[in-house]
Amino acid sequence: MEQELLSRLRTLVAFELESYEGRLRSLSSSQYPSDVALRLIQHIAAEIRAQRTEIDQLVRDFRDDPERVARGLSSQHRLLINRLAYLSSLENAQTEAVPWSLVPSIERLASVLIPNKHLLSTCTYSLNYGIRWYPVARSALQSFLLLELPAIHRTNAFLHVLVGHELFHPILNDFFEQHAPTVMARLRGSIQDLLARHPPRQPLPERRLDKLVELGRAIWQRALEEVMCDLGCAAIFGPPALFASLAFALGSDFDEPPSPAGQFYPPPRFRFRQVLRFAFHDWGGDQDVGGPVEAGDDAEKPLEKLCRVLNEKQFEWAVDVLRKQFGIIKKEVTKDTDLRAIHKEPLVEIAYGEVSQSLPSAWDYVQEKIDATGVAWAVAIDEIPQLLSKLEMLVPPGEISLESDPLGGRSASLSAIAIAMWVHHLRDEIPAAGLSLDDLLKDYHRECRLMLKAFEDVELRREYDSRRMNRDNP
Amino acid sequence: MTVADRQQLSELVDWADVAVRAGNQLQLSTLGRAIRDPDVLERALEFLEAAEAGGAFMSSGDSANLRATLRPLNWAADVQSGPGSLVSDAESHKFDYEALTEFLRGMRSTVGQVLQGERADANALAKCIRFLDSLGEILGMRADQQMRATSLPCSTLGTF
Repeated sequence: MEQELLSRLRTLVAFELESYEGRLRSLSSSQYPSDVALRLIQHIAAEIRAQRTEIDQLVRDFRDDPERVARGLSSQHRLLINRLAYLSSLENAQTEAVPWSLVPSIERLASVLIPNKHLLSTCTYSLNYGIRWYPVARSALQSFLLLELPAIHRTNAFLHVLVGHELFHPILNDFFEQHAPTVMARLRGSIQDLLARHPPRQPLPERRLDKLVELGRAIWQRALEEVMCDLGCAAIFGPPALFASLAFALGSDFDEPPSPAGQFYPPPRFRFRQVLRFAFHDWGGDQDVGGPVEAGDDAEKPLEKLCRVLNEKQFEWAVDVLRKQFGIIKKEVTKDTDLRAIHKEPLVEIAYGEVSQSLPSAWDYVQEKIDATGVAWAVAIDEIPQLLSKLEMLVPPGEISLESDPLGGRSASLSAIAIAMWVHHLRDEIPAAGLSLDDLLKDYHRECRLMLKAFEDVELRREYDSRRMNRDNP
Repeated sequence: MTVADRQQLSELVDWADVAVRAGNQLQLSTLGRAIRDPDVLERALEFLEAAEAGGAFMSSGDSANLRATLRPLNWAADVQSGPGSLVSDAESHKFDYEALTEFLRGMRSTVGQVLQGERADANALAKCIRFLDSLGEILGMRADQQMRATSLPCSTLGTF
């Protein structure tokens, strides 16, 4: 590269670095619902300073080799451009841009599931929920996770149960590192057979075996990862995980086959089926809660306990709601249109054969993670009747009152709040036939506010309890 | 761009940068200058180990050292079969995983020598530098393609 052009490239990168730093400074004076954003800004600023040092050194090292300097500068430019996403995330993590009343609860749940990581909640104008982290080894930015909520659903508290799904993504590495080699070994054999039977017409390198095996692995992992996150969400929040994912998927095709354009996401119907099977014993609502996946376990299942507790506290209507909703879901997963779509593509079919084999151990892994953290919905079932009673009076269900201490009380569990809110909401949906859409929407907004308020109360109460404990036990 | 796309893009950008910087460090060593960024050579070794394990798996089915992905092998094979290939055209179309594995093993040994401050064979070192430079170029170009926003009328992006 000509020295003159090299000089222009250096100016370009210097300009970008300066501009990036300026935007960071501006963002550091904004308001955020927690201190995670400010900590992230500090870390990014440190990375930018390190980039400047790297560039100075590069220019000194290769004074007589402009091609090498140009290559290094291009790489630094690329690193910076790739980090622009952080600016966008920070802009959309400001208090007014996110469901701020929910953020402390989400951060606390994340700190239990993913210790030693900082979660930044941000809203984006995109279709779905997501979570990202910087996959670069030895970067301080690795300790930050960016949780993305769809901005259009900022106040749609019912859907935010799906955060439970996203929080599982970063904790599945161990599982895939352990299982991927065995799966790839089987995929290699199956794909070799496939190539022998159906030689593809495409020229090399599409026929290269290592690329096909990697593609098969990616399809397997994408499907299993999404299902494992669904199962994790169900293990944390119980039935609302299924209700929320169904509600969220209503705008899409339940049978969309895994494809490169869709990043090989599994069909929603396939996902519902696995969650119903593993997390809810295939319950269809019209019979007693089904048997466990592995026979020999006589303990009362969480879904059974939920129905029993609700019946005992005279919330039979709530049991009817659950029966009806599980019946609807069971009916959907009984259709096999998704499986037929999967079987149309040989490589996808092979990868999904591996998914089926991996599912039992995947469910075991999810359960182990949940058991280790104590956030399972099953432990909060007894709270639900009291929260439903509060909701009958339109009181935000964020606190459990204690008979022993009229002034006391304690925070309700997030899962109990979600279950009470969803069941209450779905009951109101039943006689809604006579209501106008405006009325329905008005009711929905009110319920969202109650739910957000409850989540906010949980953390306020926790804060109060912590201060009181410190005061009483200095 | 989906979350998975962006995650893969970050990975591409990162490994492209590792390849560029590791190539620079090896180049410094050919000039008789001290290595100032041993960390990046350690990361290059990680990459080579992963690619080598992938190559061993593809050539013999041995999955003992296999990682959770074959991407490092895919990229290494892309370099070997691309323009300025390190093997002849005839060989590159055979996708000789055994030869590739052997080549990666040799590179790993050379990088390890440089990292230990030992004298490495000049030809082997030159091959390593060429490989890393090519890897940085290929991955960087793929990353650039993904990062570039395309100008299009809104109607082709969908309706709002």
